[in-house]
Amino acid sequence: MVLLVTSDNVQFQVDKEVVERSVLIKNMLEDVGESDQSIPLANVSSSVLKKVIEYCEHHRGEPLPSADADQNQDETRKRTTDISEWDQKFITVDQEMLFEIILAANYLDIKSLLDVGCKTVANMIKGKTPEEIRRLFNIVNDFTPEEEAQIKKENEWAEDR
Amino acid sequence: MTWKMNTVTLVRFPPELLCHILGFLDGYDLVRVRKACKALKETVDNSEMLQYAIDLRYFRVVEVGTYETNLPLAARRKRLRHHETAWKRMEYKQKYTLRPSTEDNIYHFAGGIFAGAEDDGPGIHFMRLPSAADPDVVRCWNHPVDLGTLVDFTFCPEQDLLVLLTSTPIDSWYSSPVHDIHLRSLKTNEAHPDAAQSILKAFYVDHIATHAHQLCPEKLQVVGNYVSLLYLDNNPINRTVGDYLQMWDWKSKDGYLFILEVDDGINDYFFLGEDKFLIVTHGGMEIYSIADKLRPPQCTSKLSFPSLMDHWRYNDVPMTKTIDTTPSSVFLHAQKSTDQPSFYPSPDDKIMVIPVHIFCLHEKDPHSYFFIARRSAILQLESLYVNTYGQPTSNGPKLLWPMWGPQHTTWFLESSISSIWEKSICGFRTVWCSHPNWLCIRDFNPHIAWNYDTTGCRGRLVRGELTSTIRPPFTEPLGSALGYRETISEEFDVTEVVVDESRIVLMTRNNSARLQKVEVLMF
Repeated sequence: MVLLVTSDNVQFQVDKEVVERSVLIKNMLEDVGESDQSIPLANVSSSVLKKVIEYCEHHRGEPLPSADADQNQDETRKRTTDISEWDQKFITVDQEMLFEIILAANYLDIKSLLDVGCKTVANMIKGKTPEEIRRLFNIVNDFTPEEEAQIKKENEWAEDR
Repeated sequence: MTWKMNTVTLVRFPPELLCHILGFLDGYDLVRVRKACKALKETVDNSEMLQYAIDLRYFRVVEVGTYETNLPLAARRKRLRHHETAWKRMEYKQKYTLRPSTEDNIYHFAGGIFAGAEDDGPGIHFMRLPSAADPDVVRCWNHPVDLGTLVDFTFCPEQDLLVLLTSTPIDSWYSSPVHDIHLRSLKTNEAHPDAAQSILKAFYVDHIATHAHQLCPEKLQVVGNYVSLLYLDNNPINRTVGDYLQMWDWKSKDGYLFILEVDDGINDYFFLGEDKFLIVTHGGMEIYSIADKLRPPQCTSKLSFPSLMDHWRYNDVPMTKTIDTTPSSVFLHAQKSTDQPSFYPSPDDKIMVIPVHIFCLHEKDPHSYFFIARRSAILQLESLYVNTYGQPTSNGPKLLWPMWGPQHTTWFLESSISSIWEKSICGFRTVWCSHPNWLCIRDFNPHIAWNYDTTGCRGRLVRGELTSTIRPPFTEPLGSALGYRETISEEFDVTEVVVDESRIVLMTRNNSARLQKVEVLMF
């Protein structure tokens, strides 16, 4: 068992096999060796870590993607945004939690969870107009009318599909 | 609205994370994202990966071939731009000349493989043609035709499927010719391992069989799980039999099979997707769905062509052959990795070339036209039809030309009907021989009309427009809605031409129609 401590000082006892889905923690454990010391996670709150552990529990034992394949996939990956049924259900959370999970997955280096989160955000953007995107993510339109006209001209080809 | 200062927002994500999210989006979505705010625009504009995704969308291509290489994105993007510029200026990289010593008069071209055969001939000659990415390799092989007499053939490299249509001799004038369809492996010429039966029998319904001597096999095609064969009634005086389209599911044991007869006759047919096809009738088009395998093909819409003046008719004899080399998505996944990226037309849409022939009752020669339409637009007509007339029935109305045609088509008049009229399509690009010996390349990708750059181009841009001009003998306006870029080549001595994603193949025949030269222009 590994002891994790969150930013709001909550302790989590987690199976080594589960927690090692995080490449960050896996590397830390390999560097430190067997020890009873707790691992502080200053960037992750307890509510987020609870979700992350739930994800890792469900996917325990599945093979981790190799670092090599990773890099290549990033470049030429097909633009598929399919998410498995369980993951879909798991990631159905409010926007703030979704963003927190993505940041935590990025920090903890859990590639598959990061992808599930990012695909979810991408799916939210798909097919939306710029105005709908702004509304969805609380974005302020900071373009001047001239800039807007210029962008519209650049992107005219994509209007008529 | 409540707004907490410490809330994570999308635009405050670290740039690499934001790029990762946006990397899952299509070029059309990225273009809308960059309109939302400055931060998102900068993220999109500063990422080579996202710019590349937008470029691929703009040119309507997908990249294939670099899965296992580490060719940098910048190099791939540059390659794409060079590739598109080469097509635009008709500047091929290399030319390869083959001099076949055969009398092949039937040929097929797909997946970079060119094959020719003589009807009645002893075998089929295959050549894997070189490409710009792989310029030195030409591989040749032959497959003998050992059963019956060869009538036609086709193949599908992605499924390693070679389809031969053979006939066995007829005893008497009244007995029917027996046509067999052989399903072979393209590599080995053995029976195809996935074929439920290695030989399919054409003609099995009695009422057709008794008149079979006046039917002539016109178009053999394989698309995915379907092998299809169009028979035309070849008796010009007494067309009693009608035209028949036969289709088989070649992989399934209790083979889905149907024979379709259309009241208005069939001039040609094209697949619109896995389970949909389009029939060109004498004076219109019909869309059929074969999604439900328990029922015969279901007509989902009927469309009429523009009406004609008195004494004018639509011709019932097909005269134009179209060769479409647009690869399917299956094919794209099957491509092996090389050092060079290859660009194939994106499978989500393409153009179709529909031939139309009309004749005047007082004249001998027909007048030939053809029009271009986008596949996506034709598919959308299904819902327009249902909204207008409900489910189509066998004697139901046709969607009138003015309701669908002028806004979705661009028409061309054939300048002459003296030579072999052949059109070749790959994605949004068409190539054909224009009079006398120039190649005419037209690119109907609607995106290129915007940001049209004339530098170094020897062609012109024709913008699409809606017109209400009526040109006799039509009594309704034809379409000119789709714009295109037209490039005319240097002069070539050529009789037939086919195009694929990276090549133009030119065939030259002598006066006795014997193939003398095959030239491959590699882009």
